[in-house]
Amino acid sequence: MIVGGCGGPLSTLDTAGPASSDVATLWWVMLSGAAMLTLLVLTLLLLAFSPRNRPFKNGGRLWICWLGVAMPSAVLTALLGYALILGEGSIAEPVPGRVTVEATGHQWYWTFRQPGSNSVIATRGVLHIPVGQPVDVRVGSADVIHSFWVPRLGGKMDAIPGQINILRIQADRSGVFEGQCAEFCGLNHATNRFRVVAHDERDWARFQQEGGR
Amino acid sequence: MMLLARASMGMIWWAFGFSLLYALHGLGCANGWISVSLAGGSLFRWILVGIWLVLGFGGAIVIRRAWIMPVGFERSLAVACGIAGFFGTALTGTPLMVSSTC
Amino acid sequence: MNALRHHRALTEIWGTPRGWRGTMISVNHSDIGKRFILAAFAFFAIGGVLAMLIRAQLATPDSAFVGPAIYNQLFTMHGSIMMFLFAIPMFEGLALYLLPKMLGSRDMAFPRLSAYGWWCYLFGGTILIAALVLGVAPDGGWFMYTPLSSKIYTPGINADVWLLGITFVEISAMAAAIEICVSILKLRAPGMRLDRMPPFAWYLLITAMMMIVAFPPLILGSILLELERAFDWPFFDPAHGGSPLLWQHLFWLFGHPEVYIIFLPAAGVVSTVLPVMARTQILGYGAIVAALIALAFLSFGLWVHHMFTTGIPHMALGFFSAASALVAVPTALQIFAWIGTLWNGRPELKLPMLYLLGFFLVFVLGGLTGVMLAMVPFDGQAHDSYFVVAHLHYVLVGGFIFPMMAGAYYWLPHFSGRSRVPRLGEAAFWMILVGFNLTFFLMHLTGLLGMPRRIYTYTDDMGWTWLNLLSSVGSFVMAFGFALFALDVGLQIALSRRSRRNPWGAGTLEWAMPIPAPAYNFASQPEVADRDPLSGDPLLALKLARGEGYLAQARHGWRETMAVDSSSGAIDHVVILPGNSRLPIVTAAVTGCFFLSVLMGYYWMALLPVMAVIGLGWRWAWALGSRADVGPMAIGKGQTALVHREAAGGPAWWGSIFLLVADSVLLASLLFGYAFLWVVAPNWPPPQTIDGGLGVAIMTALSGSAAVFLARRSEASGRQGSLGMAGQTAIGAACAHGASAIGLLVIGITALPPPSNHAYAAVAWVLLAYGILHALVALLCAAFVRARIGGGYISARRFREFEITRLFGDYSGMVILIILLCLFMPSIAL
Repeated sequence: MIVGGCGGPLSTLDTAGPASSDVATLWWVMLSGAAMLTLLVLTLLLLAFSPRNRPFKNGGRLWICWLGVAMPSAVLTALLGYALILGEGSIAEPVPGRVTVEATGHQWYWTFRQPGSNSVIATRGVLHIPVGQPVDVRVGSADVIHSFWVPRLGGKMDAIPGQINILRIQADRSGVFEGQCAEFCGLNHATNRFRVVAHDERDWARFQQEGGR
Repeated sequence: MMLLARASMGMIWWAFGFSLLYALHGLGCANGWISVSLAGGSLFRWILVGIWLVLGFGGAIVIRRAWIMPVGFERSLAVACGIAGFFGTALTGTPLMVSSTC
Repeated sequence: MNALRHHRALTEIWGTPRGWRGTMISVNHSDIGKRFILAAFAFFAIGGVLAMLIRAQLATPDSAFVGPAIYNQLFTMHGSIMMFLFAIPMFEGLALYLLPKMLGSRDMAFPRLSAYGWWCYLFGGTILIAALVLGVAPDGGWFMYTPLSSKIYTPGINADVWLLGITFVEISAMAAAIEICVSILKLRAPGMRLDRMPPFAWYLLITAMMMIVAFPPLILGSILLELERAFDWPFFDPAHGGSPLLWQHLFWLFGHPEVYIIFLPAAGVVSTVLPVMARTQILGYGAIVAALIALAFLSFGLWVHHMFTTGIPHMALGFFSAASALVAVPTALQIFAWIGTLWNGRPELKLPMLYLLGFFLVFVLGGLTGVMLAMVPFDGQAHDSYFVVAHLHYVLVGGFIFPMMAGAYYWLPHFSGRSRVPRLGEAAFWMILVGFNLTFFLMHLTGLLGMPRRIYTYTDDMGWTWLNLLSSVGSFVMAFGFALFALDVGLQIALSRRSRRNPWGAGTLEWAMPIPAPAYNFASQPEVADRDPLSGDPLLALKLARGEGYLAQARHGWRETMAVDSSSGAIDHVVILPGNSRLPIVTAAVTGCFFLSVLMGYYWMALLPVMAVIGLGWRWAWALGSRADVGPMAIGKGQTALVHREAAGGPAWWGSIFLLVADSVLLASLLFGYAFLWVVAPNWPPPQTIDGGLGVAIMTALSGSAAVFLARRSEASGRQGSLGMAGQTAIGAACAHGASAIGLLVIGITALPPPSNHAYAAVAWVLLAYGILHALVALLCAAFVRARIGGGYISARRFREFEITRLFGDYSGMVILIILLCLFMPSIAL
């Protein structure tokens, strides 16, 4: 979904995979809800200044019990349920046969390792994945904390020394997607970038044979 | 000071329950307690859900105790905090029903 | 005695000498409060300049204005200054200045402590700014994540400046928190029940209690990280059983409540100013207090929402996501209570109200984006992007700066005694509001378009160029707005015409005095019968000035103020507060020497200031008290009361309780760290655990318990007046405390592996050090009591110092048992 002005190589709204488009939908839902609530609050606020009859004078029960407690509780419970179920759907459950790659953050570059047809393929700065199937990225770090983030494909995952975190990404179409380290990692954090290349079936087979050479 | 402690009993109960669930969850995941399965979920999840229900029951008792206090400022605070704590326990426990354990 | 002579007599007692000497020795809460506010504003200006440099750098793509090395210092210092040197000291200053006046009291409970806190803040802040000027400012982000802030990746002193400078400043925050709690609970006007307190006092009471629980985890984290940097104790190093996530837990366990600690005092300003602007009373007083209590608890269950992307299991994230959403409810309750208050009254669009409208707009937007960020999947995208930058500025500027500016215009006549200059304030408001929204509203979109935080530059093809340029333009408009505000305030103080008393027609007690306020606040203390004492009795100020309240007499040069029962507000006793003193500034300077020696790496030399602080602390306590009994004393209206040193539950007792609560939170955080590492960190179990030492441990536990027992015996003898016996048992208790300290040290040396070996050993050593420190404190307390008996300060009426000694002794005995259990149980169980 490309909405005017929302495009860009790192845009979370110009989505190219199921994880990111779920979040974008969540965002548009929350944005419209937030707009309505803002409007409600501002209208009530401005009405307080207009000379008028006051139907709710001393309406402690209305202001506090209904508007102050019941309304936000209902909205938040619904939103929380939606977000929890959405989040549950994007958990990287272990499935045999899934494409798994290792991503390691460094000061200030990224390296990737994945099984190829003949041997392990190691790349620097570019991660190759197949189109249309989920890929588990095992994110780790060689020095300080980094964060693996390809906004058009999904949310981020921190690369923390001493542990491996698993992030599931999926590209719905072939192409090149920009990635960026999202956790401050020192002097050249700004230029700690990488790319994800999503291959269609033929290209993917060739990549696995040749290791991207 | 004791007035404040009595009046915030509902929230103290919430804090206790929240810490208990979080700590047990951390311990369980670290020690592999999810491996025993029972009735469509892991035994671990059912234990957590059971504790959650007990916490909810305790929260109801806190509200009841606040309810029978003599009328006044302390009672209003205690009842409000009791309800807030009960609702808080209910809501912060919902991931037990929805989310994957570890 | 007529009102003028009375004024002179009281000013003689409570006032500050003119000139430099007065500046150094003043302990008066109005002086200290005003200094905090001025200094905080100066730091705000420095932080603002850093922000403008940041915006200048980001205005265009590929900018070469500053490089990454400088830029990293800029944003680290901008965040740290605004959080630690501006926001917290600013509300501390407002609280110190206003609280006693609102509560109908004459000063805070521990005037010398406020002064000490002030000097610590000033010296600590100066260290940080000096580092900035010298180009060695912290550059690891205000959150200082390890391992980036560890020795390997930050070899210079930049990180040490942050850890030590901020900890130094935190002393003032802890001091203020304890003092605010005790002052609100004890030093109120007679008759002011808890439910008659002005809302502002409730907000600050809850805030101060939150600070007592929230700051110790940060202080502990800073100590641990400094130990790791200085001596290689691997708390955060995964190769040796540490975990970088432990730092994040400790930091955010402080960091999230911190946001509410900043918001609540400002919300208290809203709850004070808004009803006055609407010429009515606040709607839902009780509901707001309940919401505050709920908020205080909930805010400690949110910290993991800063760590949603660290790979924590989804269920645990869910707990914190739910709590983060839930915390919006008490906040919403307040918003609607305020709007309802406006509906109930006849609101007028005076200048403070204008700033409050700005607060509503900005803060509601910030709150709503906060709920969005509480949702785990959305946070995965928005975390560490400019969306978060936008959100946090909406919350902090909306939730702190706008209400504080409303408060500034509301209380400025009180500070200066003058009314304001027309129009300038409105112009500043519109510039700030428009500039702010231009800067930060666009950042939501910048963030969604993928711009991560803390990058010093970006390329043109990212699509962020126009957004960043407009943000930068907006930030400069906003900066001019703040400059205009400063100019307006300066003009008002220097040039404007005099204001009448109580210019807003408010009902709270701070307006029941001449403005600017006299040093003693009230010539006599009022009796309070409802929430707005001044509305019920417009002539109250006059009556108090004529001495028709409590403690109207100026006698013996004593700084007297009433203490009440914390709930009912019934008269409890009279507190005689200490007067002006050089001790606070000297002690703060010596404390500063300690931090500087550690900063420079002269670790052995740091012991010297520690000894000096102990000596000064002794003098500090020695200066109080009396060698003569006073007995029941006339307080006016035909009533009598005891002085605090002859009555139960005096300020020192309450202060010690709150100090020990903070202290036990520090221990609890340490034990949490111990358990966390054991359960979660890699490379556990440790290669070597505790080996032997059980016999010594049992001896240590016994001597700790003996000390507790002896302290009780000593107190019992003291109460019966057999002082000789009391003195001897106090010496016995001191020896027993000393023995437990030695016992703990022996366990460390004989049974524990060296601390740099593994995180286990490092934590175990810190636990031992904690126990030793407390045994030594208890030893000093017992020795102090013995010396006081010798000095004639103790009698059958004046035995309250025993109670304090017992508190610290009991605490020490208890922690020694806990520490020994934590060290020996796992190895016995395994």
